[in-house]
Amino acid sequence: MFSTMESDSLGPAESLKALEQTREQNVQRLRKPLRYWIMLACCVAVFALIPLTREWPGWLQLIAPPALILVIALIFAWRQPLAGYRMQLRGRMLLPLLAIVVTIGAVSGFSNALYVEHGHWWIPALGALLLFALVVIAGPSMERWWAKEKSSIDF
Amino acid sequence: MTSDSEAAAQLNPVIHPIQRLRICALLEPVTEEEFAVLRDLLDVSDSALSKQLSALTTAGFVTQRRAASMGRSRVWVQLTPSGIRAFRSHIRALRDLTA
Repeated sequence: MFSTMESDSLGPAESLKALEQTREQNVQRLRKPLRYWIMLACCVAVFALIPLTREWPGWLQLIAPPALILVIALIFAWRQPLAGYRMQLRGRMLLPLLAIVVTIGAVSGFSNALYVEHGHWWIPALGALLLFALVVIAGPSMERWWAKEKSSIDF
Repeated sequence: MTSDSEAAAQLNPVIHPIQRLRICALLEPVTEEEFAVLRDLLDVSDSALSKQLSALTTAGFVTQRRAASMGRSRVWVQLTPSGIRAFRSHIRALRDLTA
């Protein structure tokens, strides 16, 4: 049933309580579905697998990773359009994103170096698994923190 | 410390009604939000939401724009910089009153 939405002003304590409930609502609604994070994690994991293409022809090495990322994105976007961020990220909100990007770079680089050194096929695969787990676990946590950080309703 | 009367004076009468307060709280963390999404989140009718948005728009706290997307016309609502300032100031006043 619809509320009347007349000038139903509450007292300060009740208003703050309603605001806190709205903040929780914001945290929930601004969260992207898990399938989005799985898609992103798959795309990021592709970077760790690039060293496995070393023996392939040059043109295939160049085309295969972006083609694979495109296929992943198309599969996940098939039934649901990709959600876009409507939150404006500023200042310290960018720090966790930067940390994740640096970690992705470090894991990819380390995995690549180990593969060059030892040549075990499972090293890039393990790197890809680590990157996948990183994005799937850290992504939603970062997003929850963003939603809270963007709200001035803080108690 | 701000006295209760000073804090009460800082309460914004345009924002204070609970649904307008909730509208501001829903709009604050995002660049803009679709009218229909706001309506569903607040569980109100189109006309009731329009009425509240109209009050906020008149005060210069909210802007509305119409845009076509995938063959459908949608109304997007945005909290203006002065709306953000007024909302934050209102929250501070509410906190002062409950401190």
